Amino acid sequence: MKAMLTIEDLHVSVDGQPILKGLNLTVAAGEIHAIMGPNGSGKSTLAQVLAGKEDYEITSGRVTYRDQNLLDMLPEERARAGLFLAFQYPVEIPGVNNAYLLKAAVNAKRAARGEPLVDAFEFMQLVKERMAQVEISQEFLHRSVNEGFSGGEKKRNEILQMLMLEPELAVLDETDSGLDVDALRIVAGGVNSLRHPDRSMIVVTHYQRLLELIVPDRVHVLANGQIVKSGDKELARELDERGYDWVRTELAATPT
Amino acid sequence: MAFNGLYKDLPGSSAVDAQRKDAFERFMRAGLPTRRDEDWRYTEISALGEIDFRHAVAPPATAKQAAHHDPLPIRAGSKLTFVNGRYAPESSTINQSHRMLVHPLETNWTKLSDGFPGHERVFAHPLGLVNTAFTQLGAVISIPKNSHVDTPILLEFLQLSDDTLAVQPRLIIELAANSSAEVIVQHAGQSSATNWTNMVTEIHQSAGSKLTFIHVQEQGLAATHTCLTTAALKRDAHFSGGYFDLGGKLARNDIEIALDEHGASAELFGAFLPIQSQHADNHIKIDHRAPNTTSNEYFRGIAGPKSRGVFNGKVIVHKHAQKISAQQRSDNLLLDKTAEIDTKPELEIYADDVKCSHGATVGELDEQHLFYLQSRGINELAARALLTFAFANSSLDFIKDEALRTALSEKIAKRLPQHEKWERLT
Repeated sequence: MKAMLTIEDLHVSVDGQPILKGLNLTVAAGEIHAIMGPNGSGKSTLAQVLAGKEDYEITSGRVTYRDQNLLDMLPEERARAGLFLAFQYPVEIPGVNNAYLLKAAVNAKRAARGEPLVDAFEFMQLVKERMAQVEISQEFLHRSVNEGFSGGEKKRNEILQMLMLEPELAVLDETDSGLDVDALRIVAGGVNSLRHPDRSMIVVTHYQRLLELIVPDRVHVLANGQIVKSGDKELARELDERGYDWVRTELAATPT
Repeated sequence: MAFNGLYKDLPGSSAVDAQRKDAFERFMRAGLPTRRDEDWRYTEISALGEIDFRHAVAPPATAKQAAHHDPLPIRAGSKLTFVNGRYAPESSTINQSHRMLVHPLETNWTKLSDGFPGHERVFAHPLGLVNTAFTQLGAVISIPKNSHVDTPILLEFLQLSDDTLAVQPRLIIELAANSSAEVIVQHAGQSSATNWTNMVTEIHQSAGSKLTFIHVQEQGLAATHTCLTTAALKRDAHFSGGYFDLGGKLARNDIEIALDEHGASAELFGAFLPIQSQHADNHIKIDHRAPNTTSNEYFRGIAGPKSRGVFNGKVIVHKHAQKISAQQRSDNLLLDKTAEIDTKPELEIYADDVKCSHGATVGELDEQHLFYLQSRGINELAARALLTFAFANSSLDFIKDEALRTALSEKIAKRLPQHEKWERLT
């Protein structure tokens, strides 16, 4: 199977403090991978590094995205090449309305691919359809990005952006945290609607409940900056029942 | 002083003439303010005293006029046009329903048979002195009791001459009890001359009246623009004032609001954008003279290379003005190492049961915002330009008239560096 993303021996520090310590991961096209793990294990760092946040110091390792060296690319180049991060904490941007952002994002990607820019009519058709899908009212289009949105609305807005951009690789950073059952169903519905043999997803989460709705092909446990255990969806259930301590204990018992 | 020559053959009434004479004599003694005056420590205009100004020159052909002007939408209201220091009736339209309300001074000095109604307040201000001494154009807008003017009244002042003009417009707005109106003043025209416009707007609001007043200044980059707004509000009157200083080499905006009676309220908002080696200074004074009065200020400044912005917001709560509320925000953005913005909130409180808050920031764009936009495929330059625009644009949230808000938003966008980078995508 064709690899979408390959991470090899990735080491990342923040303020001189190592966070990722030799992480390896391969995601094939069409697969959904879940990354679980205790707080502070490096899950969000991984998501931010993939999107290109500058505050992280990559001390060694390689990340290959669709045959390109991802770490050499600017955040905007990554986005235009089809990588999308749904933020754990989407920022509020006063004065930039949602319609501007969505249209600029769609057009930036189209322009980079030599495609014609979206016209006003086509854009409205598309955005109305996608907004209905994530149950966001149309008045949100003319409001500033995330300003005054509830936690759940912010997360649904991330999914709306993802649906508009139709990324090849989506990274969802704890998109389920703070969501009620209904919002969780909407978010999962959005993600599942994008499932495609040429598209991959990395779902970072603490909770198994999301993975009941978005069924992953692989589940990985990230602890202390490394992937320490991988399995299929059953691993998520086991983690939910037994907690991360079980993995730690198991690891400690394994002779190195 | 070079101004002597301007003080002759001026129009008016006998009462206006007397006020002029007082103002002229006092001005000749006091001169223009200098940086030794605390209120003028950042802004130097005394060199204007050396320039040999003229009041007005003939307007150019209308085609040239149109080419130099980006008019504001007025939704079929009235428009008074003044070109090169003179009223231009041929370019003006007064809506049928406004005929009894809107009076160009040129043919209506008789309306001032008792002199300028706001003389006392205006006289106390150095810019007001100059205007009173030399004004020879402007308008009187009088809205009768219980009357609601639902289409805006626009006054446009165009500078299209290469002569050095000192244009001193005087605008008098009187709202009788429970009336309402919207007045927009636009100063435009890309003249390269070292013009000086010095406008005084005096506002008199009776009980329960509501005024929306929008000032848009987009003069040429050699021009000096100074203006003084004084407003006095009676019981439950409401003033909403928006100030957008986009052009001019030097702009100075003085706003003095007196909340004279119970329940009066004022909101002041705006943006100043000294971007191209420009200077923009705002001095606001709000007097809470009565209980239960409310004021809210929200200003955004953006300074570019070798440019400077000033925001000075003073709120005075007088002794018996209990249960008042005063809020002030001044947020500023520096686009370059050589940009400077000085912001200073001042509170003087002599009452004990008040709710006052103020916040002032001077900074750069938020890196989190930048990363968010980049992560959506927008390149760094475009993202910076969009965020800079957004920063100024949020000052338009107070404007209810959507067409006006859109027009102002476009004017703001055009002033900012690299705006085409993101506009191309939206």
